[in-house]
Amino acid sequence: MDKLNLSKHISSQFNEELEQIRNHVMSMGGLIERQLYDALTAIANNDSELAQQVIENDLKVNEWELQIDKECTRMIAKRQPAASDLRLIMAILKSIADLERIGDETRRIAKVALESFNSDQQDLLVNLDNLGRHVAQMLHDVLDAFARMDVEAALTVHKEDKKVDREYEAITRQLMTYMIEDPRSIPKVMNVLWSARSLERIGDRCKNLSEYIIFFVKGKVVRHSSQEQLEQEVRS
Amino acid sequence: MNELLDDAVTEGDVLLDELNIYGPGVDLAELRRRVGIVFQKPNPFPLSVYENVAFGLRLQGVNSSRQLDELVEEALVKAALWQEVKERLFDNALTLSGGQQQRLVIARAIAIEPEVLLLDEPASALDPISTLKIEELIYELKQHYTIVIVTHNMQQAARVSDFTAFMNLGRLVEFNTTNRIFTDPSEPQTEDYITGRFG
Repeated sequence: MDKLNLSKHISSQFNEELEQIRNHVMSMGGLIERQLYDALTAIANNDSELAQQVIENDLKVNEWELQIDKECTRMIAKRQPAASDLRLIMAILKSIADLERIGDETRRIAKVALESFNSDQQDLLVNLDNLGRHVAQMLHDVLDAFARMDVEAALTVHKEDKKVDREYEAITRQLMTYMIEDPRSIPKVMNVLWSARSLERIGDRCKNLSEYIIFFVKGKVVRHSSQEQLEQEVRS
Repeated sequence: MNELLDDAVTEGDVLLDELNIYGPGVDLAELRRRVGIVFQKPNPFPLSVYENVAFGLRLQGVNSSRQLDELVEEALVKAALWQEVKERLFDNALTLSGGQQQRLVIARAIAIEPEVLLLDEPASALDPISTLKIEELIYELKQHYTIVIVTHNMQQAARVSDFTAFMNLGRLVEFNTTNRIFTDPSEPQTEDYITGRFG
């Protein structure tokens, strides 16, 4: 945790408050990672109980966001953080917004799964297994990169999003053939498509998270930059 | 002042335009006209409010009372003090509040139209409202003068300045735009200082 240098303030209370906020973000991240894993497991095992649990747990994700939001606001009001402390708070505020949206997408996936268990489209949903695992890995890696504030690891996650986008496109094409072959399958396929879309969006949000890590460490805003520019900034 | 101390050492240059102010043959009276100074503790002369501002003007040879009246009012308006003292111009300056005294001293400094205003901790002895008034004044005055402010209050530096120099134990550690210094400083020492990790 040396890179973060959180424990070096003259005010030990400041140290504790910053460390606490960071720990809370890690807890929120851990919960969301669990949620996504459970949603994917629910799909794989036709487990409607687990899907239901994911939907209910999303409330806890929302509570974390509100809690951390409040802590950051208080920190700004009371401590006027500057330089890397300020960048950390800004990065956290942005990260929790994206994490909360990842939570929403996960709940949506669980909801679609729950609906589909009542019909006969499980075979179609299996298509999402690879994409799901890929995105879950991205989330795991970006949270890991966040914990260590590791820009190289963040950069790897950032690159991974392109692959997820390609997988999503492949799934879309595949699902379109289903629809062409049997128009009666369209409502079911649409449901699967929504879930695939949710997974793809989670990938995008992991990419955002990786950009906040780079912002914190390097002090550079890399949103909307090309991959080459990004790598240049990270290695400069 | 430095010449009065045996062990004082100065290195480097302080340039006012092209002029090295420590150079030989610098006219100190002229330098003091070009650079107005305001200190930490308000130091009005034990004279009336009016005479405090008129003092430097008289030294410069302004004697017509009409001209003096105009220039005194102008300086007090610029120092955002006129409204508060226009009814008591001939009261002793020491009867004003600390914040008013400090603005009076600033009015005295700007009456002689300096090029640079050097403010050494101008608000550190003042209450929060007076501090904000001084900061607001700095914001107004910087349209017309180059203002150099020395402050230990980092939030104040961040609020009022366009550029920030971080000095430690007599050495210039870092100079950059204020935006840069307070969001992404280049020197680890600056970072440690502004985030409260120093020492």
